[in-house]
Amino acid sequence: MVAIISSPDPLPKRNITLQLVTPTRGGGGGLVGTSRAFEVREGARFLYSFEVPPLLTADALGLRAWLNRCAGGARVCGIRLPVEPTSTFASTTLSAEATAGDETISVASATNAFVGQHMVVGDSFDLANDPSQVCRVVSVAGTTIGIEPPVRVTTASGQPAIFGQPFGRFRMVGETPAVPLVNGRSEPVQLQFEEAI
Amino acid sequence: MPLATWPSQAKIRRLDLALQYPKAPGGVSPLSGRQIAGASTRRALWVGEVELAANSRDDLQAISAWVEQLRGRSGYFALPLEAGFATFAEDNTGIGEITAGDAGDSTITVDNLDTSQTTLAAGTLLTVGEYTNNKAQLVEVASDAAVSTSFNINIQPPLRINVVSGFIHLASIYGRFRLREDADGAGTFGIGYGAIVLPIIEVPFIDDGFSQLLDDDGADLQDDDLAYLGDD
Repeated sequence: MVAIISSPDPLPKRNITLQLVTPTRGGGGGLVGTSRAFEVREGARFLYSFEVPPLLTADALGLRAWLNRCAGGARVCGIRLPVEPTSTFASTTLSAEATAGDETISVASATNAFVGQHMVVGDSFDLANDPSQVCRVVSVAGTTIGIEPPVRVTTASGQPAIFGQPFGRFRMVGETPAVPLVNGRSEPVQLQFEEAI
Repeated sequence: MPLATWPSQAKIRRLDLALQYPKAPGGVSPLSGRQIAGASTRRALWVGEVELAANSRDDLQAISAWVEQLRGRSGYFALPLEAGFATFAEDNTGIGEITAGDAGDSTITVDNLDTSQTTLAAGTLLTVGEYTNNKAQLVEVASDAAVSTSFNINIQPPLRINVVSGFIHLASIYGRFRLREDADGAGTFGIGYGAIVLPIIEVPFIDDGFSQLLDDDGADLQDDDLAYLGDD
C-alpha cells in the first residue's frame, strides 16, 4: 500500500508551473499525430513546481514537517492542483469505463469542465483505484471529455472524476528542500514535484 | 572529534534544515534524470545551513576564528536552537518524560510534559533523551499531537538507538553539527552588520558518549560511507 501524505491545506503557492512532459526515446517509439515523432506517451506525466511565499513560523514548521515526510521515493504527496480562472470544484463520476489508452472519457456531468482545465480521473486517495491520474481537459463535447495524456490505467465506471483544484498525487524531485527560517517567519522556498505513477 | 563551544558573538539569523535520506540504489527519475531520495529513514540526517549574524567587525572576526577550528571536520558543535527557529513556542521549561523506546520507533510516548499548550504542532523540534550524556537525538514532530497527561508523538526521523526512559526537551534544544564542506570563514560585513553562512550536517548522538555513526547493522560507519549523502 502506498502511503499518501496530504500537504498542508491550504498551501499558498505562487509562480506555479504545471507542465505535462513526455520523455522521448531516441531511435525508438513511433510517430504520434502529425507533429510529434518518437514520442513515448506512456511515460507522460506532470511536473508541478511552485514557490511557497513567506509563512509565519507555525505554518512554516508544518510545511517543513510535511516536506520531511514526503522525502523518499516511495512516499506520495497529495497536493492540490492550482486554482484556475472560473474553475469550480466539482466531483462527478465516470459514466463508462475508461480504458487504458483512451483519449476521451465519459462523465456524468461536465457542467464544470472547460478546455485547459486540470482534473483528476480516479480519486486521489482511492487506493483501490491505484493510480489516479492528473489530466488536462483538451475538449468538451456534452459529457465526453477529451484528455491529455490518455488514460493510463483502466478505470471502472463510477470512479470519481474531479474538476476544480482536486488533489493530485506527486513525489518530490531531488533532495528535501529546507524551509529557510528567520525569526518569526520563513523565507520563500521553491518546490518541485513529479506526478506519481 | 572535539566539541567546539558555541561562540557567544554568534546570533542565528537564518536556519535552513531538512532531513536528507540516503540515495536509493537506482533511484533516478526517468523523467527528470534527478535523484529521488531513498526511503531509509533510520539513516536520515539533518542537513542545511545556518546564517550567523555579527554586530561588529570584532564579533565577525571572533566567529571566523571559531569557524577556522572546524575546517576539515576537526570538530563539531552544538547548535543552540531557540524559540523563533522552530522550537517550542512558549517560555516554560518544555521538559517531559518519555517511556523507553527502541531503535526504529517512529512514535514515542510522553508523560508529564510541562506545558500549557494543548497541541504539540508538527514541525516542532525536540531532543529525545538526555543530551548531557551524549545519548540524545534531534527529532521533529511529524504530525500534530494532542497534549495530555500521557500521549504519543509521531517523530521523524525514527529513533536511531534504543532510548531508556528519560527526558525530552522542547525548549533551548541542541543539535550537534559539523561543517558539511569547507566553509568560507571570512564572512561579509556591511554597515553595522556582518554575516557568515555555514553549511552544516548533523552529527548524531550515538552510544556511550562517543560520536559514532552506525550503519543499519549496528557496525561503525566510516567517513567514506557518508558519500551516500553526497557530502564527499
